[in-house]
Amino acid sequence: MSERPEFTIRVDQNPYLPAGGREMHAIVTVEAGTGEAGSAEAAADADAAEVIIIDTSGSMSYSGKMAAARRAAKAAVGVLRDGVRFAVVAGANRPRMIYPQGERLVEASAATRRSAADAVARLDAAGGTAIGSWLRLADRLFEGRDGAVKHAILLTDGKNQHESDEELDAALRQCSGHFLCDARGVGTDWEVAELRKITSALLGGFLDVPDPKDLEADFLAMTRAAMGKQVADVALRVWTPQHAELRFLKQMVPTVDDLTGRRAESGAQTVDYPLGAWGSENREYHLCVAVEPGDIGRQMRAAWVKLIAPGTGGGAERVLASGNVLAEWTDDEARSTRINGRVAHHTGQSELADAIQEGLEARREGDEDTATARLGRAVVLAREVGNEQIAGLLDKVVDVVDQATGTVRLKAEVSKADEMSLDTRSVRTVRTARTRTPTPPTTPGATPPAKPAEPPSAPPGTPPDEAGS
Amino acid sequence: MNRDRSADARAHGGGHGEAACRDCGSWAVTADGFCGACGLRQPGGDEHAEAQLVVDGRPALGAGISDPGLRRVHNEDAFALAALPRGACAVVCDGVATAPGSREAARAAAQTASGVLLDRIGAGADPDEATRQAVRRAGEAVAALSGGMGGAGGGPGPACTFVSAVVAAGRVTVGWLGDSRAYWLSAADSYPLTTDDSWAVQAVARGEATAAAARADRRAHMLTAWLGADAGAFDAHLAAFEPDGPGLVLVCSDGLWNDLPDAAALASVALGGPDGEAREDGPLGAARRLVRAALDAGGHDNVTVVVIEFPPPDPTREPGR
Repeated sequence: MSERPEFTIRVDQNPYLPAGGREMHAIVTVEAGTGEAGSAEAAADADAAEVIIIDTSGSMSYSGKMAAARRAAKAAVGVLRDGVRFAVVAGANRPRMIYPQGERLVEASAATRRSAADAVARLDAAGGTAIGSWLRLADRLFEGRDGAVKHAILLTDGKNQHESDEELDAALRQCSGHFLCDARGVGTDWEVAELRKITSALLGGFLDVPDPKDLEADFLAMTRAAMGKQVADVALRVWTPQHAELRFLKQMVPTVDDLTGRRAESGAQTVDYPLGAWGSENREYHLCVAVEPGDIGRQMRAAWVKLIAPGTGGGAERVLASGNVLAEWTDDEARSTRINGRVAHHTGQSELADAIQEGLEARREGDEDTATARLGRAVVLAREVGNEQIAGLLDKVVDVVDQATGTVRLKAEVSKADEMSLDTRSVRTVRTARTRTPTPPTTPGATPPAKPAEPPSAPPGTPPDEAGS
Repeated sequence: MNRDRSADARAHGGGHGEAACRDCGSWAVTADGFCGACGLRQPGGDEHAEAQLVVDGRPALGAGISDPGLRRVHNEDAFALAALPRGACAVVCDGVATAPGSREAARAAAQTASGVLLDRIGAGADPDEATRQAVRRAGEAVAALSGGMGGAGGGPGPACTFVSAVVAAGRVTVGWLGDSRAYWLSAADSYPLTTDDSWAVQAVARGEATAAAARADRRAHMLTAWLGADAGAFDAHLAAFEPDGPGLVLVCSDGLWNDLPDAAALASVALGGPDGEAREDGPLGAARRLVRAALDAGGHDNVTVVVIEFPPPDPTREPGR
């Protein structure tokens, strides 16, 4: 087995609630590190499978997109690790195997990488776009590779025009949980909302690549990141008290992604959220739970979060890390009204993403008042949370009259690429330095331990539920 | 049902030996003290206290336990237990729940009083006189606590009950104010050594109510004397006697006697079950059985129990069992 990354969970919150208070917010930071070893090296013998899907619809032949895609796919194949099972698929009205021949994966080696590069060089553009059918082929290719890190790269330049939305949705339902998919939209004729839907369902990310010449570097980075994944099918298990309501769980770093609807019951008081595969990286989640209020002075475990990896070879699942979200009721307003800095930061980033998406949507629909208001709000929020990239992208869509109040004017001329870039990147967040929000030192129990010891008795995530006595 | 897991939860319960949640009753309290069902943290280690004396390297002579009970989060009882040259002394104080700061009052009173008893009796003072001084000094310590908070807002200042026992030189001396009690428990005969300063006792004494009616009255537990800044100048009650056989001196808060007022019943719990039943020896075993009985009876209030053996083990004799 490869050396597993060390996982840690950290919880940032203000645990104090006023009398009768119910809603607890916390930022859960999950960090996976491999010590000094580089991520790709550390993953050297992790079982992995990669399918590269290149859009070869007719429109790819314009603006040098097809040539750029050939170079990008070749570069991606070139950095596949020895032993990784892979395939290259061309997508049009129907998907077509480019390498190898026949619906199967082959093991990466110097020879197969060379053959794959040769096959990619012969890619030609013709036909339409039916992404659901491409994903279904990838799903068939991955079949039987349980326990492996299964990852697909999807490149498209257009809308999913040659199958219905229902066909795409059905394909996503089928593939979801089977493999991960990162996507790139090249040019400006693809649909941001569509790639967001696809990659969100397949636990991946997407980016816009307006200029085809940037595609090669982007594919290299994306494939290297995929090769760095070491642990597949990680889940976040959240225990909550009886009568509590888990209001939401959002991924906040690296991107905003609302995971609330992804939960699957895993025990009497636990639900699991799939988090996909992990290499050396960290991600942050915003958790909100509503609990039954306790008496002043009482403490409650409002949520118990655990990172779960499936068992290998029929073994039991493993708890990689865990953390507590606490609640303590106090009549000291100075404590209960304080807002944790990281909770505030991520609340701002979440609202920022919403404001941008709603503002751009209103702008497309010709509702200038709403667009001005929402994008103005976005300008204020981008400044508050220190997201300079988004602030810069907003500047290309609106003229800022007053940054502090969010007074803006919509620009008359906005390039399609700038608008798509702002929309695409609205969910890309910035990290904050760890806040110094002080937790009163007088109550040691209120400081969430970074990694509390597992009680040896309770199987993970299945606290005893019977009501005794 | 899931008996195995319950047993595990208890075994790993750390300070939570009885891992039933005090809030929802589930047998699911985890090692870090939170209930696995309702999530509430169970009262922590500083709410439960145990102490025992050691004679010749072995636990003997006396032991005390204070527990928050099953219904209260905080323990406003306090006790102190100390070895004397030829015996031991104990103090139990019960903070008055309606007065803020009473938990600190009970702790200050118990610590102060036991310090005075140790000093005075060690210096050869008469136990009666030492007890009077101990109560006086404890009262001063409680009054001093209200320095910052009494007066402001006109609310009640910190207050607590008091009961002490000095077991030394073949004699038992008790002093008290309020409704914490001392008992003599033995196989031959058992009886209370104190009379409560409470509405119920006074009403019966004045012939205004029968004992049963007084106990049922909602004023039954109203204190008529206590330690505290606004308590006025109460003189502690004193009583002394010389047992003519072996037994146990029990001092306790009302969390024990509310549900088990009868001295003979307390004796049978403290002295242990029927022959052959596995039981823990010594004063700590007796104290544990008494606390367990109070919890089994509902644990409505804080429970504090101190037990002192009579006669004290004689260090000049061979240290048999």
